[in-house]
Amino acid sequence: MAKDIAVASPAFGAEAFPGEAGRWSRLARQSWVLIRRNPLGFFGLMIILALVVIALFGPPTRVFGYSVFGPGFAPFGLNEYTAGQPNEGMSLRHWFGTDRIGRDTLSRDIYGAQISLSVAFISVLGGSALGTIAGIISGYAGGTVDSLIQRAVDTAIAFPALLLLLIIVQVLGPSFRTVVFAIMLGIFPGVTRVVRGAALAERNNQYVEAARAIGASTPRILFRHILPNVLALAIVIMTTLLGAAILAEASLSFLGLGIPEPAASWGRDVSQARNSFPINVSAAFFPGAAIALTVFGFNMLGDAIRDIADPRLRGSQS
Amino acid sequence: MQTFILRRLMVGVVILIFLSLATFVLLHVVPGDPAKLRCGLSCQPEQVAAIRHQLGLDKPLFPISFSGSLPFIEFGPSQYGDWVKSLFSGDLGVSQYYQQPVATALQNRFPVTFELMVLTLILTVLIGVPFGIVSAVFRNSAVDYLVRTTAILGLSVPNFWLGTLVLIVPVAVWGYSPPLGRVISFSADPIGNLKQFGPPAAVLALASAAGIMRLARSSLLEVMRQDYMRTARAKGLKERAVVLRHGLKNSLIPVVTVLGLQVAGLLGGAIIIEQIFTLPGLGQYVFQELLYKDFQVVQTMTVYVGAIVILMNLAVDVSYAWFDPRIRYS
Repeated sequence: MAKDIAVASPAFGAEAFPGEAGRWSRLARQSWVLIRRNPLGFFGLMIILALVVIALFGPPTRVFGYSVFGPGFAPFGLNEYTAGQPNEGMSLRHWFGTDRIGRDTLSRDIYGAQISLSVAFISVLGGSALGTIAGIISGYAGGTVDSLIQRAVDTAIAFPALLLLLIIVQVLGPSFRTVVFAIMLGIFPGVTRVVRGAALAERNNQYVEAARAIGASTPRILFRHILPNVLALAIVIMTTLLGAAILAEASLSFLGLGIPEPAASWGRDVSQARNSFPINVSAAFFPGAAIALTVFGFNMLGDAIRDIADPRLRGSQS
Repeated sequence: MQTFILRRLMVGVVILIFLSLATFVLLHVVPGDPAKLRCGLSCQPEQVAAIRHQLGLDKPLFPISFSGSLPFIEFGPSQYGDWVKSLFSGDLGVSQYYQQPVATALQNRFPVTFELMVLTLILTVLIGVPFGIVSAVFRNSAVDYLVRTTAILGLSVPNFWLGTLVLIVPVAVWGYSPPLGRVISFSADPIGNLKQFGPPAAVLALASAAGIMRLARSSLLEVMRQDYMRTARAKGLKERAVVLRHGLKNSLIPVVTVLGLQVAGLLGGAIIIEQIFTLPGLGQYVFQELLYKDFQVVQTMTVYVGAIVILMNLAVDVSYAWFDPRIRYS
């Protein structure tokens, strides 16, 4: 185990010198070492890349109303209930069957990828950014500010996250924005706690003292000196949180407090299939399998990135 | 030890005050008047006012108000004060959705969620710890990779999906479904009770068991590197005794911590699982009240759940001393 770490870390940390000959071949060799050391992480990365491609090119992606990648390759429309008969099984025309009102399950799963991934990326990015800022302030400031922030974090952690998300979404009214906002708030305390620990360690380093000695302002010390040093840690936490964010969105949708129709949602599709009669196993199976596959990909990728970045955390709880 | 527990309890009280304030504020920014909701469509303003007075909604939100003259701060009756008082007296009002006193509902529903939690935790430990040991002992073998990959898969599977499949696939294939709806008590019919609670507990336990397995593995690996493990082997103990007697107990501390921390997550999971398996527990209750926007009940439940989680975490910390007598709190 110790040997793995010794070999893997320099391969990740060593930068290829720009302009040097053989830079690309060195990069390729380093990547190959990383892949060989973390086959599961590479597998996870491939799953995520495939899903990103599906999310971008499957549905007709629109940015500010303009279609950017053409009509998309999803065989049917999201709410095209004339795609087939209700509750069809798997067939060549409908690979994953149809749901209870005759919509194509495969197409709905493809549309759902776009929503799921955008919710996850936006909420994790926002939540981690907030958590990182609160974390470095809490760790650097200490004293009353620190205790206040930490008690708030304790409060959030001492509480079932799902119930918190449900309350926020129900109070603000379900929509894309409120779901993202709720998941951001759910992510925020955990990130704050971890980043605070790192900031606390950085605070006592000499470079901070030096910065203070030449008269750098507190915001400057926080954002120009401490932030860059805790950023790697924050990015590692972010990758491990993406899977959790996907699950959170799906759970909210399953309970009927997710992004409302007509948007596609894997979680809601499972919930709707549950209530179809006669029982429609394929319409319940495939959207859920899509969730599981996505989260699986993120979890494996997150594990690998954490192992590479910080061997001390190897195998610890996500 | 006593001072440690006392200090932790005081921090717990502070957290609960934070939590109660946060939910109270959050649930009072919602537009809409509970009195109008209760009164119905054809309702005169005087009736609304009467109901507002009856519910105490005409009082200010917080007990502290600021005035221009001495002593600047005034304390008085308030909605927040009434609510906190009700939390202690147990007079929690009547649920609008169920038309039943909230205290009665909590009494009836608590045993259901409690049994679900206990079964889930038992299954979590029974599945998680043995696989963690196997995985650690046969490190980097095919078995280890299989167990670890299964664990990541277990953490990835959404519990509502698994619960749905566990319900509908047996119906589709064998026409079987576990007993739903009415609760079968354990004392009256133990087998029927387990048939009812087993599947939901197993679904809920899968993810937590996967987490515990990963943790048990890494924790045991850490312990195996210790000197006393080498000593145990050197004095000729069988490998089984080394791992189980010397290794396991010492590797259990982080496992117990995380089990305690998982209770909060499991209570969240209970909302989904009780909904799917139509178990009339607290999760189902709080969710229905939330959907019906009876926020008074929701905020009460929030504080109670927070209190349970805080007490659980304290119990976990205290239990360390039992696992590792070297730990002393002062």
